[in-house]
Amino acid sequence: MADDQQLLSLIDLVYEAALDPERWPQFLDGFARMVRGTATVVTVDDLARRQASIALAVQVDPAAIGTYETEFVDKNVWQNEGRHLFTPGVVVTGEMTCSRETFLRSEYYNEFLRRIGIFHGLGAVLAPEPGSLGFLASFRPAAEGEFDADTLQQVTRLLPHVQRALQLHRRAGHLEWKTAATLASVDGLGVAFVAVDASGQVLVANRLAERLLDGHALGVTQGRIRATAPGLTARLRQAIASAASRDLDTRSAGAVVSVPRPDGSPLTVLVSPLPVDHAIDRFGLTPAVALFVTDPDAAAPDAVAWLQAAYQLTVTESRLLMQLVGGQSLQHAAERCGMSTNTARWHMKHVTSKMGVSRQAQAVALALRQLPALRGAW
Amino acid sequence: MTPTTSLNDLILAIYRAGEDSSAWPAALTAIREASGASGVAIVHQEFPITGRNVNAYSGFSDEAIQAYEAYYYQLDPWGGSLKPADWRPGRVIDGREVVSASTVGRSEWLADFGQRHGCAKAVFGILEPFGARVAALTVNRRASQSDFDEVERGLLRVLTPHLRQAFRIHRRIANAEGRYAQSCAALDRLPVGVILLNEAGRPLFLNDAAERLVKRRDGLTVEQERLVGASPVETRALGEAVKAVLQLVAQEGSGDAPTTLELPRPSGGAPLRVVVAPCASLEAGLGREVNASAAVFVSDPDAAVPDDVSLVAQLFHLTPTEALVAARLVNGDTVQEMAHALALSTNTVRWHLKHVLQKADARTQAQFVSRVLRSPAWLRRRG
Repeated sequence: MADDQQLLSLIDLVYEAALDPERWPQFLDGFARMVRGTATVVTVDDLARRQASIALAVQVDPAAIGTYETEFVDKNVWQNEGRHLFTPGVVVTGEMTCSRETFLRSEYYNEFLRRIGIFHGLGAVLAPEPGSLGFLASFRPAAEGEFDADTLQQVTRLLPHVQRALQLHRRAGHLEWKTAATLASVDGLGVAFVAVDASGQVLVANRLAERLLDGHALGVTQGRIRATAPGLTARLRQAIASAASRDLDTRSAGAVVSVPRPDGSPLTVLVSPLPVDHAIDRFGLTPAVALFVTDPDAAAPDAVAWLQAAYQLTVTESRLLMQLVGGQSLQHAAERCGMSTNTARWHMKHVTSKMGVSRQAQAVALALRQLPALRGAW
Repeated sequence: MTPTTSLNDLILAIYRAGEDSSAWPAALTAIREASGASGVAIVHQEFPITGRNVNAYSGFSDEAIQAYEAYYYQLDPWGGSLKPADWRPGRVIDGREVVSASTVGRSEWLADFGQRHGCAKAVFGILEPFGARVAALTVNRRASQSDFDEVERGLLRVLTPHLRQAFRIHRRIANAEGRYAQSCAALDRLPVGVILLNEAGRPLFLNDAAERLVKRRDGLTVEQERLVGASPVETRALGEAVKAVLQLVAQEGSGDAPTTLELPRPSGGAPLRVVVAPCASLEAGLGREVNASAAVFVSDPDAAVPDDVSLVAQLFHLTPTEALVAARLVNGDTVQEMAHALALSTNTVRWHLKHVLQKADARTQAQFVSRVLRSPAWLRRRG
């Protein structure tokens, strides 16, 4: 019963680790206690690349990990001799993989394990992901004796949970990475994007949006989006609720809310429904709403090099065009580039002709449409 | 106590449901059989109370659940008597601790609902702390069955924390999936083809605009999970640009300016402009290498930007005609072209343009174009 209690709390802990990777060492410590092992590790072997790495370790000297990874992966006699036994879900001991004589003669034992006081090993075979094999392994010095059948049985019971937890960990990690990549590309196009639920609760926001939600004109309180200007929060949330209820004209992009700022042009917020529903719990769904926020004062990124490359412009021409793309008047642009308005006009003649258009407005339109990354801020 | 092997199977079934919600009924059936219950359900309630949802169940008929959700939850003697202080996650409460058996016996609930659907006795396992919503496992027996004993309550005490954990896992995964879907939906609103590539340069995601471009097979396609240009030369140039950017990301994150290139179109149209940019990297942990990614932005030469004239009107407070003139200006029309297309005189067009610029506080047409294309009007109406 005491053993069962230990197993149950380890099961709880392994799923805790699936939700919070920081907890993996705690699980390994608990596992070491259950099997009465010392050094305990999770290894991941990339079969295609013939690489092995120790993903997690407790009660092991970090130097020993380095030594193993650089010198002894190929010489691991337990792994080399026991390869035929390793199917996911199986629990083996070192003794099951090779004879005592083979082990005692091996370089792996004499040059590595002996020096770090390891004699017995127990390994549970994992399949962390397709194409790779892993082990949850624990070790003991000779004096502690072999891992016995009861211990093996307990590990066998725990193993499906470890496998599932690793899978969940991987799935959550992969989703997070894909989301980060998607959001970064939205950032790259200079679009500030926030998804909220019907009540204005922020579900996800990219970096540009996070910067605009700093509490200056827009902010987040208790997870919900708000505006600092009096009365505006209600209007914003009303627009969100209305977009969530899908009672907007389906042909329109959404409602526009202008958010004044004490020290600059107002932010423009486009509130529009997203075709994706957000799960509030396992089964309930609530509509998600997108907020696209525009900051008219945002500085145009320094992308002179792209304009130069894309339209074979000179550096001066590119700088000037960049200013216009960023919304400056020709006069201002000329000032910033340190030239007279007439000189700027003369340069712009070359720009438009190189771009195959006749007017400055067309040059700006073409650049922003062909190189939308000009909107962004790398 | 049930033998440990079958207890472990029960717990496995619960976590299977945590990973895949279609497995909840199977998990609840296993709990029902192990606890000798007539029915088992997971019940969910939001505050303020607008109703009660039964998320999953076993041992009840669909009609019983519908009737409960529609009306009988209001008569539920236990649900109505549980105090916020009782809602400690992991806690197991016998219905008799909350309402006496005689009170239940006399209740309208039992006469009209409980008798018929086999819920005269109840034990609850609390899954969520008391907050904006609560969730509990309910385990019921018929009046003819014995009361739940300490062994059965003990089993539920063991299982409830795992149910709670499985619940949290499910919510985490569902939210992560939701965030990914929402981010993808935002990309679909962009009038630019966006192709996200994984660390091996394989396309992970194409937004709507990119799908359309690739389908046209005019300068850029995806073949065998590779970006392919009109000729091997272009394909190679594209591959090299992608490789260079991915290496940059893998090494340190972001940094240098993205690479731009031109892809000629066999149709003879203006070449596609391509920007390959570093995107994001994430340490996946547990022995995985760093996941790098890159974004390929492709201008869509045929997309009308802005595509929503009414949004331009809304943003800059323009009349419908002014908005039409404004949209054409952004698309590169000359005054003559606008006059022709809108059947107006050039003077009228000029007069409208003057108002458009005034309202947008722009001194030149170029300034106005910049303002519109950097506003939300640049986005597509729908993904």
